[in-house]
Amino acid sequence: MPLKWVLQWQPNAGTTVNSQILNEVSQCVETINGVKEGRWKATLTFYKPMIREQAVPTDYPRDFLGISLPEQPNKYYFIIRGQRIVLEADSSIQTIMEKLQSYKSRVALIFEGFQYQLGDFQLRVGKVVPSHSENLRGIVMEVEYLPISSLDKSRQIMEEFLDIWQEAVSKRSLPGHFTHIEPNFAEYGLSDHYSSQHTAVQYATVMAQLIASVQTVQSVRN
Amino acid sequence: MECVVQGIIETQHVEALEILLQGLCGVHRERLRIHELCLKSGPNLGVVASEVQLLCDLEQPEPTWTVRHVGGAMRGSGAEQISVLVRTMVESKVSKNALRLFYALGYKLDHELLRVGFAFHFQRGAQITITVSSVNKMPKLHATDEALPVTPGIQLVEVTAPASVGKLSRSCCCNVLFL
Repeated sequence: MPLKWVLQWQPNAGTTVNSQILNEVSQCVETINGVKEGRWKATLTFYKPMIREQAVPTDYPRDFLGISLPEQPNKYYFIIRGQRIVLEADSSIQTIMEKLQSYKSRVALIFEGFQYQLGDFQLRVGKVVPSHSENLRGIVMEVEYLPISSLDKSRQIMEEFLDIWQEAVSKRSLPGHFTHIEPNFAEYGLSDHYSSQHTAVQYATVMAQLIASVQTVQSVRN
Repeated sequence: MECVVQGIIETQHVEALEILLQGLCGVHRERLRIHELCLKSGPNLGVVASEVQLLCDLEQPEPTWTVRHVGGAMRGSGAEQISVLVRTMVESKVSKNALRLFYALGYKLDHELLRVGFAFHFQRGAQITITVSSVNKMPKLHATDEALPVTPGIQLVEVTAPASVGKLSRSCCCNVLFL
């Protein structure tokens, strides 16, 4: 399948994300001739262990992630970042987890927005919001290059595209920029050939960055 | 939900049963070689202790993995009226690192076995599966090549069909009973 990079909006120090930035970024895609195609949505859920006796120390993971992606609507992904495990399963694995009653889904974050076609590229720009509120927690962007599946072979063209994109965004003098952190896919046992498991790992990495940035803002405030 | 009927047969009669089933089902048999790993939740994990099965289909060129959860059997007056076991069953095909994931989540291997035999899959009102298999245990961890029969000379026959929640398919149960 075509490879993609998942980017996230990194606000400048002392600033936070807001819907105006999201609007400007979306307009920016259209100014470089991106054609709006439709909506997309991914969901990321935190699972936490259900411990019978809280006082007894355990070494179970404090949490792990469940991810549903629009590119694979019948699949579901589990990620334990600490142990670098990504599992691909049929969506019914969620029912199995409910029946086991050993881990409970606690918080869900929705990634949703619009999809754009731009030549051989497909862009998805979206907001990150909790499942039961409209509080904007972040902005993400997927850049997918349709002709290539190899991460290595596509690196140069992806970097060139990002340079053009960053230049287009910088003209709007927004208080931040998009960053791309490529996870070490090999640690997860994933090859150079791109798959949806790579996408799931990228979302988990974006999630970790979002949490880290929220914690940084909170510590600055305190 | 699924309807299940289980029974046993002496190995000497398996060949005749296979011919009978071939005629009844109208499809060719498929070889069956499944490594089943039964995992149990670690101490203190979960509201109640739980069990999950990982099935590795060794008959495929590249072994495929499935996670299966089998729930309790249906009880009450409805269950008394039918002669088949009706229980919840959920399966999910998973990538090959499922065992590592469940170990990481705090599940432990309780026991493992190797099921070897054949299966018939066919449509008769519902998707029905009949398996005839010998159940084998392994002397060493995951040593499927060294597996030995648990009950030499006796094989397990299992007929299963899906049943939708809320309206247990009468025809499906009848078919299972008929077979």
